[in-house]
Amino acid sequence: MHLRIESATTYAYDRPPRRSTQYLRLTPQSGPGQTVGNWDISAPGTLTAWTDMFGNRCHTLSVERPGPALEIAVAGTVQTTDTAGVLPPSPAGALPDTAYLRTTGYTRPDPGIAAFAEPWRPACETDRLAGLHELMTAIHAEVAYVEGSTSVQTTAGEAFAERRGVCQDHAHILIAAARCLGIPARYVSGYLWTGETGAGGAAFSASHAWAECLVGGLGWVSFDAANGVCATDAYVRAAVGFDYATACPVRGVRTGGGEERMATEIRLFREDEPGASQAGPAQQEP
Amino acid sequence: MSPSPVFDEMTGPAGGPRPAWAALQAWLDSTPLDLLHRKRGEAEALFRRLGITFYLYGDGAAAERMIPFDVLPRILSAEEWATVERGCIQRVQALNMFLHDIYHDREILRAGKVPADLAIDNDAYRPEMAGVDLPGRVYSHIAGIDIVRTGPDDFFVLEDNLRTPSGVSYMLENRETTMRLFPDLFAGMSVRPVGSYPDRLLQNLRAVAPAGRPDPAVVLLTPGRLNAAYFEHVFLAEQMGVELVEGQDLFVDGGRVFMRTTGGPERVDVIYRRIDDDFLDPLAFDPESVLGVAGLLSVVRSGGVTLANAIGAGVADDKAIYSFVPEIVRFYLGEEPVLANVPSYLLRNPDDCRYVLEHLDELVVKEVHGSGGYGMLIGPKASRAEREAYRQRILADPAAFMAQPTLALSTCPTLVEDGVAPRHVDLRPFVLSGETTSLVPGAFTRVALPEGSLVVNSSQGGGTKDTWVLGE
Amino acid sequence: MLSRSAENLYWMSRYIERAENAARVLDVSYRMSLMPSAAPKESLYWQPAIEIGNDPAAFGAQYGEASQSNVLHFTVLDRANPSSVYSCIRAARENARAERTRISSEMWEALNETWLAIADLDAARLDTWGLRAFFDWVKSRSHLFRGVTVGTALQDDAFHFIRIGTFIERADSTARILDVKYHVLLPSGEEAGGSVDYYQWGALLRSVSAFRAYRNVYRREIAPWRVAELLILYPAFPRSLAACLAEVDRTLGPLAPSERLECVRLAGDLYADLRYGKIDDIFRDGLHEFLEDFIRRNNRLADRLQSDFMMSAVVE
Repeated sequence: MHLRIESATTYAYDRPPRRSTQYLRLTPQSGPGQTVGNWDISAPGTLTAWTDMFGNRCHTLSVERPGPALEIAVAGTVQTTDTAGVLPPSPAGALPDTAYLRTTGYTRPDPGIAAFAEPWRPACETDRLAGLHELMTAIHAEVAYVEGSTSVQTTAGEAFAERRGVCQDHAHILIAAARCLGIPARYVSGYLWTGETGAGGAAFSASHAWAECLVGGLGWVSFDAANGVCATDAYVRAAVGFDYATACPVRGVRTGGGEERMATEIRLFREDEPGASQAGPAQQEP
Repeated sequence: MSPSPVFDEMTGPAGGPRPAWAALQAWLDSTPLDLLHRKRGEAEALFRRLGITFYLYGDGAAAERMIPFDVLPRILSAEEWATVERGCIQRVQALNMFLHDIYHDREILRAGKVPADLAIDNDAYRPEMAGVDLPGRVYSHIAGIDIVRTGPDDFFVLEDNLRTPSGVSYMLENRETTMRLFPDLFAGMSVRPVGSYPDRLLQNLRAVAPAGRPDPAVVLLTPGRLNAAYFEHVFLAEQMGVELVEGQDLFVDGGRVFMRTTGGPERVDVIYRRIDDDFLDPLAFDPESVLGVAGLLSVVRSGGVTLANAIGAGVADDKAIYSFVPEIVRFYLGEEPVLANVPSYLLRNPDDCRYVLEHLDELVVKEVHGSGGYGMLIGPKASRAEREAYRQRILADPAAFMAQPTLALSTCPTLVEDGVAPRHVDLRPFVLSGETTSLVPGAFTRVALPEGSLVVNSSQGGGTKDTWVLGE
Repeated sequence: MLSRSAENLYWMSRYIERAENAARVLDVSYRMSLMPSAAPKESLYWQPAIEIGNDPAAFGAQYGEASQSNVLHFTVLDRANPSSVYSCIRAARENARAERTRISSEMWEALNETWLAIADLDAARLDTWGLRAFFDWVKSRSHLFRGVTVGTALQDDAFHFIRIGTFIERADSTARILDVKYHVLLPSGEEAGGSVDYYQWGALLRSVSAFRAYRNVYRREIAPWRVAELLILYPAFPRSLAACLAEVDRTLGPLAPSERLECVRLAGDLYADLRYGKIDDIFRDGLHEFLEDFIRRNNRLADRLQSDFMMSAVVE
C-alpha cells in the first residue's frame, strides 16, 4: 500500500507558557514491511533529532515563548507490504529482550488480567504463536471497543476492570497479559488505514496503537487486540516502547502559562489506487 | 574488663597503643579532660557559625540540625590506607566496566557470571541508557565506598554508593576544624592533606565533558534548599567555583543544555547532579518532577551533555549485585579483590536459603531491593515471634531476601560525657573517576555515639570524626 | 550570573526597602493620630496606610474598618499579607538565604538577625516593643542592611541587581505616599496653596525623611507644590523619583553593555522625563495623573527587568 500521512497537533493556551519542551515520536522508519519517503516535521522553535532506547527516531522540540498557540505538523509517504504481522528479532546491541518484561505504570499486571491470562499459559508454552493468537482473540471478545470510555491516563488494569476501552487500552491489556505469562511484549504507536474497513460502522481513528510480542524463532509478532487481527499492510509503525508513555507520539512539559488544550487531526490518503478515498479527518484517541 | 571480640583500632595486641596511634595516646594522657570538652564546645560553635547543617523532617516542619562532631581523630597508618586505596580503586574501576558492559554488550551476563535478571529486571537498571557511549566510559564519577573493619587487616566493603553519595563536605570541614582545634597535635603527625578534593573533583568532571569542548562549563544541580545535603551542595559548588543550579535554571535547546543567566543562555557541558534518576527529566521519568530538566535525557543520549553520576549507575550498588562484586572484579580486571565483601547469602539460592533459615538468630536479613534499613531482621536482637514472622515472609518469596552475619565493627577512642571511651565506627572514602580513578587520602568516618550502638547513621545518633591518614 | 540569583537578590532588597517604607508610612499615621487636633474618626489617619499599600482590597475584605489595631495587624503582623512588615522581612531573609554564597556574611547576618528578632512577633509583643520604637527599629535595620551592603559587597552584577531592587521599590513607594497623602491633604476643590495643616505637611515630609531637606533646599514655608517638586524632581534628595531613576538608569549600564534591552530604554525614558520635567507642567496636567502614570511606567520597567534578566514570565 502506498499511503500519504498528514497530521497536525495543535496546542492552544489560555495564557502562553514561557517555554514548551516536547519529545516527538512522529517519524516512522524504513524497515521490514515499510519504506518511508519524504517525511517532514515542521514546528516553531528548535527541532533536534535523536534516537531513543528502542531505536525510535525522536525529536526534541524546544519553543521559547510559543505564544497563544503551537502547531506541530507532519507529512510524508510510506510504502507498506504485508509481513503477516511478523518482524525480525531485535538486532544485536539493542535493548535486551527481557527488558520488555518490565512492569510499567500502564501495564502493571493487576490480578484480574493475570487471572484472565493464566488459562493460556499452557498453550503459549507449547505453541507461543498460536497461544498468543487465542489470547488476543479472547481479549478482543472480552473488552469492548468504546470510543471515549477511557483517557490517556487509564491503565491496563482499570480498562480491563471496566471491560472497555480504546486501542491504547487493548494494547496495554495484551502487553500486561503477555508479560504475566513471561512473554516479552511492547507497545506500538502508528497509523492505520481504515478507508476500506468501515464495515459495521467501526470507528477506528487513523492514529492507532497495538502490541508486539516476542515469539522465539520468528521475531516480534504484532497483535491488534482492538481489531482482533495481526498487522497487515494497512498498518504503519511510528514508534515502539514499553507502553504508551514511552512510545506516544507527543509528550510535553511547559513552564509558566495557564491551561492548555490539545487537538490532533490526522489524514491518511491511499495513493496507489485510482480514485483512492480519503480517511479522516479524525480526532486522535489512541 | 572481659575479653571482647571487638577490635579497638588504637589498642595494640600487648595493650599499648598501635604505632600509628602512639602520638595521640601520649597526647591524650597529657591533656586534661575539661580541655577536650572545651574544644568540643568550640568545634560546635564553629560548625554552627559556618552553617554546617542538614535537614531533618518530622512534625510537619523541616528543622536544621547539626551532625555531632567528635574532636578525636581516627588514624589510619600508611599501610592500612594503601590497602583501602588500592581496594577502592580496583572496585570502582570494575564497577564502571560492569556498568558499561550491561548497558552495551552484556558480556558478563552472557558469561553467566552475574544472573541476567538481577541486572536487567532491576528497577535501578535504566534501559534509557542502553547503547549510550559515555566519555571515558565512566558511570560513577563520584563513588562512596562504605567500609567496616573487624581486625588489624580485616577491611570489608559493606556497601557501594554509586549514585549521589554525600558526606565529603564533612571530610573537608572536619579537617579544617581539627587543624584549628589541635594545631600542635596535627603538626607533629605528618597527616596527609585532603584539601585538594574540590580541585580533583572539578578536574575529573571537566575530563568527561563532551568531545570538542576545550573549556567545558561544569554546574552542580541541587534539588534545592530543603534537601538534607543542601549545605554540601553549596559547599562543593563554592569550593569548585561552579554555579549551583536548580532544574528551573536549565533548559534544553538544539541538543544542548543551557543555563539562564542575566547575560543570556550559557551552555552547560557537565552536570554534577545531586538529584535522583527519577527526577532528572519529566519527559522520560517521573512526569510530576519539577526538580529536573525537560528534554535532558535526549541530550544525554546524543552526547551533548555529561551527567555525573550517569543515569542508571545505581544498578551496580544494588544489594543483589553487591554479592557478585568480587566476581565482577575478577571478570573485568583478572585480579583477586583487595577488599573482601561481607559474606552474604542470597536466598534465591536454595542452599543459602536453607542455611539462613537455620541460623536466623545469628544473621541480619534484608530485602534485596529495599533500602534505608526498612523491613530488616536483626536476628540476635529479634524475639522468637519476630523471627517466626520473618521466616514466613522469607518462605513466601525467598528470592526477595539476602542475609549477612552481624559484624563486630571496630571501635575508636571517642569523647563522651564521662571521658574517652571506645565507640563503633565505619569509613567512607570517596573515589573519583574521570581521566583516572583516584582518592584523596582521607574519608568520612561515622561513629555510633551511644554506648554499644552499631548504628552510625546520622539520623539515629551517629556522629562524625576527622580521618587522619599518615604519610610514609 | 544565574537569572534566578539575580531575581533572588533583586527581591531581597525590594522586600527590605518595602518593609522600611511600610514602617515610615505607619509612623506618620501614628504620629498624626496623636495630634491634639485628632479627628474624631481614627480611620482618617489609618486609611492612607492601607491605600499606599499594594492591596487595599484585601484589607477591606478581611478587616473592614481601618481602625488602628486592624491596620497595624494587617500591615505589620499579618503572615498572609505578602506586604506586611513581617512577610517582607521573612521574604528578604529567605531570598538572602538562597544566595548566601553571593552576599557577604555581614549582609546575611544583618538580615538573619532582623528576621530572628521578629520571627515570633505578635500584637502583644508589638505593644511591649512600642510602636514608635518598632518603626524606628525597622528603619534602622534597613539602613544597616543597605550600609553593610555598600560597605562589604563586591561590586559585581549581584550588587547591581541589589541596588536596582532598592531604587525601583523606593520610587514606587515615594510616588504612592505622595499620591495618597496629597489626595488626603488636598480634598478636591481646594486650591493648592490654600490653608494647609503645617503639621500634616510636616508629617508627610518626615515620612520620607525630607523635613530637614526641605528646609535646607527651600528655606521657605511649606507649600504643596514645593513638597511635590522635592519628592519628584529634586535630583539630590535620595528618595525623590528623579534620584531613584537616575540610580536605576546608571546601574543598568554595566549590566547590559552589549545589547539594547527594552528595560534600558524604559529606564532611560522614564528618567529623562524626571530629569527635564517641570513642576508647573506636572500640576497643570494633574499631579494625581502624573503619579499614577509614573507608578504604571515604573511597574512596567520592573516587569521588563524581570523578563530581560530574570526568570519570571511576563504576560504581555
